[in-house]
Amino acid sequence: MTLKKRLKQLLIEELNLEDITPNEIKDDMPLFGEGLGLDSLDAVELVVILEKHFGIQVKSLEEGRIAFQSINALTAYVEKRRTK
Amino acid sequence: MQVTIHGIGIVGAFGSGIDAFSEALARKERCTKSVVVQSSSGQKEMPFYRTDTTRLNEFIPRTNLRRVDHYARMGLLAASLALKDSGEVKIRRSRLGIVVATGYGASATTSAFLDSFINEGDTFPSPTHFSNSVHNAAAAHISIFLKASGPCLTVSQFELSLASALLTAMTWLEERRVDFVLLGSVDECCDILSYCWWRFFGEWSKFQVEPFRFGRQSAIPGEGSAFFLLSSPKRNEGAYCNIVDVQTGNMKSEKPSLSEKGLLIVSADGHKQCGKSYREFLGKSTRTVSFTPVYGSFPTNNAFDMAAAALILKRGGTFLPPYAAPQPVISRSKEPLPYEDIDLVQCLKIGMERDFGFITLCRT
Amino acid sequence: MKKNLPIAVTGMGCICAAGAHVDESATSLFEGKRNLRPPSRFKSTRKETYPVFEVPDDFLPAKLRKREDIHLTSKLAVAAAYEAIENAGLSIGQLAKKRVGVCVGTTVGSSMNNEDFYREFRNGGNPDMVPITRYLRSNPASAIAREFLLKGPCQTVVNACSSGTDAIGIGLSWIRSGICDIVVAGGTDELCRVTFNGFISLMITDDSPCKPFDKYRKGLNLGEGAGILVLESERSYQERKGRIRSYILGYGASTDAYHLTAPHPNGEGLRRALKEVMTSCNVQATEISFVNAHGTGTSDNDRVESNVLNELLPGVLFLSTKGYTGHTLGAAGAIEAVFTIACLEMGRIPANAGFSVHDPDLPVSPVKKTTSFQGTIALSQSLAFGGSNGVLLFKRG
Repeated sequence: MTLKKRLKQLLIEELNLEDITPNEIKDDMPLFGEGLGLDSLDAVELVVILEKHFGIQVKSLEEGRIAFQSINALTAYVEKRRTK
Repeated sequence: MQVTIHGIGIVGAFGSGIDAFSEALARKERCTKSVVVQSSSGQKEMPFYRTDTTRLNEFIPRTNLRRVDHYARMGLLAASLALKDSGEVKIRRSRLGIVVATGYGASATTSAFLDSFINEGDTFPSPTHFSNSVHNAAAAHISIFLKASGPCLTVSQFELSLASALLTAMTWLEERRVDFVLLGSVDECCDILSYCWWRFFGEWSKFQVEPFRFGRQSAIPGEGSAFFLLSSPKRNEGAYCNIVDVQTGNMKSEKPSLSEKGLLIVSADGHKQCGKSYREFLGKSTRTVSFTPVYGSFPTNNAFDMAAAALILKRGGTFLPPYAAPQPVISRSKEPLPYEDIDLVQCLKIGMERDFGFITLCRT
Repeated sequence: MKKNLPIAVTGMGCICAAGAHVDESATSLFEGKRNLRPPSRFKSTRKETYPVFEVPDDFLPAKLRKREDIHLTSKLAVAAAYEAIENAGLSIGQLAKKRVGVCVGTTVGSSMNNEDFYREFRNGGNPDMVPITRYLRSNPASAIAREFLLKGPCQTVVNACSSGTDAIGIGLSWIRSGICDIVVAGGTDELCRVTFNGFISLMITDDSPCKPFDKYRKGLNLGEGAGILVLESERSYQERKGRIRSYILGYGASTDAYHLTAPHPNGEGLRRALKEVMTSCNVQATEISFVNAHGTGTSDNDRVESNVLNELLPGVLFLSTKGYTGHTLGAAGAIEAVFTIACLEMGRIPANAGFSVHDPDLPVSPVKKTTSFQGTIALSQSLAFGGSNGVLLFKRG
């Protein structure tokens, strides 16, 4: 499974995004606000997901704000920072 | 202080809504659902009054409920049903307060939060589970989804939670802090609670709840939520009844002010320890019923008693009590109790320490 | 129901990291002492250290400390209640003759989250049931009622961070409606690994001493403790010639109805609660000497609060005392009520510990040093997870 697909799968499972398939999450779709519609609580949940599955420590929500903009941004971020 | 009940929403093992509840009260309900309990001799299936909240999707789209747990869903469903049941009552949402009573709070989510770090270390606790594990999560979700921006409160007082919460709701209305209050109860059963049940009371696989067999342990755990839309006394065709008094105390130093004329509903739910207190009290009463076999045992099940009381006062003699105090435990009339002539119903719940909550309701 | 009647506070008690009782805490605040350190009662597997404001063991009287029937949250509540009741000059005999209610806020105190028990259960063991029986005896309001043989209404409020403020507000209503002669009201909470991990997971904790309203604030520090007020009806304190420390003029409460954890960005709920209490008490902004703000040190809370304060109470001095106590969750509103009354009596407020650099994104900043004030009225406010906002208005006795 590609990293992109795995990330989409993780988002759906861990954030309980029912009624949406990985294919419906477009790679350049904004994840927060408009687009997928995630919010601040999802952002901190995503920080835990990244640490648990990829060994990445997100130091602050500011750092997260840039990295979590879209699946493309998130994939690039994980590829660069993963330790697992 | 008096308040009027305009609408009732309720969800339990019998289903959801006041009509389903009314039908369940008329049948001789048996507990048909179960929970898997972890015991020292392996996993065992025991009876349990489980609720289903699928109907919540009628009110809120499934996608919007993604982070709402079972505890909060029960509350949301019951609160939504209460508003629907109140029909045409006009409510300004900024003047709608919410008071939630709970015995044990969001125990399943508390457990889930503990699971997220107890074995894997402190680095992966789930913030969503944590946010939902605080007792006031149900009230918070209700205020968000119903857009109720009046004051919001959660009360946790074990068996006295409902009576205590009702006192606050009545006080808010009397001081005109709000125009309406959604007063409700939420309690859930989960792994840890059913495990503690087994440790304290042993296996209950063969039990049927027998409220008036005071010398025996026959309780079965349950869960559910009941909500009441309350206002200051108001004449309204659709209203159920008035709550005219709430009394709390301890039987060691005071007794509930029992009326000789009314019907008494007791939350005797098969617990031997509390049963003793009900027996002592019942010696003075002649018309006594219990409906706990319909919904099981949990700290706030007297909210369901209150819903039954409201139904009896509004709908009169539409159903018979299958669970009246039997002969020869106490002496009373052998006739099935007609409900047409009942103008007053009192609901009594006694806790483990002999503390009690006593609610009096009257026809409007 | 005497809706707007000011109700007397005839006694108060407080136990927190700043002090074992009210006077010690007040001294600590004005000396700028910040007693925080890594948690000592539990270990974390995290690499980073998040300091906390722990109550030293010896702050609790020995007899209470050694008890095993109730958990620490209830011990803290009982300790503060002893101080408050003694401060009010009331004996158990006198309390027995009156209708005395208890209303206490908490978060941890009502949660069945004993880690050791749970871990053993989850790992298939057979844990001792003592933690559960202790939990069942440890409802904070019930613990106080049992301790002092009180027979009036009893209520534990679990409203997250506004619990203490809300509990006092409810006590106020009980006196006004004539249900009680006296109410022992306040809040209590203990530090534990569950809330410690919970707040860290939300990324709103600071790994250094917190900086409420500061440009470089990073989040909150957790704390623990209890604050208790004795509220008393006029008839009751006149009968026994009790001393009045303060009056509570009013209580405002409103909900954001916005989000489970984030405050409404425009502070809608806080605005309504503030307007409600000021209108119902007929008090203008110019009459308010200071505000004890919620001021946790998180980015969101401090921004929202300062915007609302600037709009509704322009020019009014304000501070957060959480730099001295940490965020004590269910106890916060009650401990801060105690501090508000103490400051009204002294005519001065301490510096907002942790604040040094003005944040240009915030319209106002708190006091940077001990500041004297004229006037006799002050306000204490709390904002909670789940969106509850509670505000209390006090007048010097």
